[in-house]
Amino acid sequence: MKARVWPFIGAVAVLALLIALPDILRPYYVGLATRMLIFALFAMSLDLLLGYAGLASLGHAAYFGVAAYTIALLVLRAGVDSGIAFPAALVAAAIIGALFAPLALRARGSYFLMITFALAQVVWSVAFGWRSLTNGDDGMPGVTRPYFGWSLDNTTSFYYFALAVIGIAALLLFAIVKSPFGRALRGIRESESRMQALGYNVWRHQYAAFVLSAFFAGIAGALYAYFNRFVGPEYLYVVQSAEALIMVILGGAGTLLGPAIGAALIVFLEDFVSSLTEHWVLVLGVIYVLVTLFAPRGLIGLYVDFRQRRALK
Amino acid sequence: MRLVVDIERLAVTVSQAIFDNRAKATVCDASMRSPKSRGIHKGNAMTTRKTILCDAADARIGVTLPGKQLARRGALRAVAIAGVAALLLGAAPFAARAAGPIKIGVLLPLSGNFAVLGQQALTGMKIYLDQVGNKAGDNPIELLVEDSQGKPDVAVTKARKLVQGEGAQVLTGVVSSGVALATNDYSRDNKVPLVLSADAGVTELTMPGPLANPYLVRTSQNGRAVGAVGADWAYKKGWRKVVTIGSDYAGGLDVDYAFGQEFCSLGGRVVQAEWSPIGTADFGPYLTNIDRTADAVIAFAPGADGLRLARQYSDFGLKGKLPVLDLFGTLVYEPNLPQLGDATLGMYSVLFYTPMLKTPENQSFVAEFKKRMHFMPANEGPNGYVGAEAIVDAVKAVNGDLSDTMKFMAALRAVKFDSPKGPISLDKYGQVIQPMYIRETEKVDGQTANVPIATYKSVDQFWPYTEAEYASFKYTYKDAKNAMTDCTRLLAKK
Repeated sequence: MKARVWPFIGAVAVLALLIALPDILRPYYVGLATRMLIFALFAMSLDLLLGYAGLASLGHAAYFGVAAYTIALLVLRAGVDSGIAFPAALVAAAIIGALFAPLALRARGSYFLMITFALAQVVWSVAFGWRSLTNGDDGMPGVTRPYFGWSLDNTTSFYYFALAVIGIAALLLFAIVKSPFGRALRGIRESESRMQALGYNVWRHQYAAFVLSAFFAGIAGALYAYFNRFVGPEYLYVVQSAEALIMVILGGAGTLLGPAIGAALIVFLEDFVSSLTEHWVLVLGVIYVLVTLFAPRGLIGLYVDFRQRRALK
Repeated sequence: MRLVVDIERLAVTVSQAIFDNRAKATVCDASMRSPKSRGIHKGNAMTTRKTILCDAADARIGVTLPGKQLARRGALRAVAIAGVAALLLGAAPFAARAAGPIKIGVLLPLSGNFAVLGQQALTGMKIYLDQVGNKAGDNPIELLVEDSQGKPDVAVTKARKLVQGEGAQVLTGVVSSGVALATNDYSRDNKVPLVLSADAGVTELTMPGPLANPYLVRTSQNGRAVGAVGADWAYKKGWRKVVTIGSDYAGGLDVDYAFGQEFCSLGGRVVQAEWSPIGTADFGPYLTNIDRTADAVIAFAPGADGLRLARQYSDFGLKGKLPVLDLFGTLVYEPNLPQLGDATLGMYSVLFYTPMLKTPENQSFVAEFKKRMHFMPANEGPNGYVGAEAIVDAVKAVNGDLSDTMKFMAALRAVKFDSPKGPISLDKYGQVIQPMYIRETEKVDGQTANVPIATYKSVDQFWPYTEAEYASFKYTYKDAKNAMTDCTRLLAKK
């Protein structure tokens, strides 16, 4: 009984802290917190694929970027209202996921990784090369934020908007991984053939996970476009995909909390360390190596180990 | 270079992904071993579907009702406490901008592809500030340096950090055009003065139009003026048919298009336009394709591409047969000259600077720059220097009082001084008016150097057109790929 109450109290405390954040922190750090939240969602969406379905994708930036570009294109090129562009962006991300999945799911392991990588690079090169539409490498500045009866133009109001959207998305993700579907995914991760033998349609489960994962990455991408009011091909680039993978692995794949923590930590460290030294990439590299050596299951794995050791005493 | 980095990253990720599979297996084993989950596995028949999932222990989280109610009550209480705390904290005043040093926020790429350029610009800024004792009149100057990584989204975050977090009153630096566009938006939305001083050549930034920003000045250059001056000189040199090779990105299109437009309006013609992707390792195919009946090759290939193109141009035996005009000095880039040996001898280039200028401002700058960086300055060093000088002059003009931003902007746009680049002033849109130099690569004291052979005294952003004439053209550089060899299109009016 007691053991079950603590996580709830923890969750509530974190939520309260998140809600009170703009009053505690200076505006810049509220902006940073918004970025952390957005990347937390992005990492969680990837984890649905990597941690639960066991499919390591190196093309996750595609869905993130496609959603961001959909918003920028609809708002800046078609003059659509920024709020209406939001659902359109999510649909676009999911469609790209639905199109890529049949191609990528033909392979497993590092081949899956390479195919998702290649597909994402195709999207990147379209954004980079189709200058008349996307402005190429200059990117598209001037994306407006949606207006739902109140302005999201200041840092605090946008933070609450992002918090609400990401909160709902995270709850949905939790519901998905706790559902029979989520359990089946984990089963597939451990043994595809066994799940097949038990009568599960493995391919269909993986396909659904792929599309869902793209959909949630799309939410993060759309929010990021609003947040920066700018969209550029970097959003689609392999570096973005790889960073998401590192976030998931650093935090601990196979849990939703882990990648969220990993994402927040990496966003924070990049910001913090890069202000202290020009050689921040080196510092981050050392941190990755240390985590890999001493916490091979990610930061969340450290915590799980710690609890188990205490339970055994 | 970029590709190599990507492949390295890829390799790392692949190995991590493989490693991760192993990690997951361990998670599974651990939960299987844990006493609680073992209980569950024993309790249920192994034949049910769920038991094959090692995480089945989680199934117990069908929480009982009292627990849920308790949690909800706890949640309400915590939210209430948080709300009160928020109200109390909200009333607390935030640290106001204290009077003290003038804080200049510097956004430069100090890691990644553009790091070399960022370092040079930063050195230029520091040389000037050290020269004036880090003071603008009586006001001490503080540089706050942030690494933009050459990524627009990072740059905007860093801009926010500098301005909102650390109280920077002016932003400066910026190399890549994507970063310039994103930072321009930030500056306009937040009314923060932005001094582009390290390249950021997007031509439209300082022209009337959707990007126009009253809080912006640019002391580096724009893409088109260098191209247009190059065309004028090329025509005067007697060339009529030329081939262009340009890097395939916004900057390359901008520069080459300006060249083509001006060359056509004088009566010349681009007979062949080649576009090489950024990071081209082998220029062989482009060089073999070149129309040998042309009068000259017009090249623009910044970064390592310029180094490779210069070397291969000589290796292919084109040197001495087809003269080269290098827009922006990308092949004859000063830091690269020592490793290129004689390959660049006789190449022409056009830029707003050359370290060979015999002015007191430049000679002392070059000496100091060489001491700090151990190579000759190219464009970014003097650009950073000039940006810092413009800011300091403007701060002095408003007596260190930056509270009236528009007044400060007016002071910035009014600056006028002799710099290492030559005499500098700004137009009403905040774009620099400066000399342009045609340079020829020669041996000076046993070392190749870009010696000025012609000077265009004051070149503004619309040169040689008036603003109205320039605005009457129908197409822009975004159309370059369809228009380069087609004079009617290049010169089409609205």
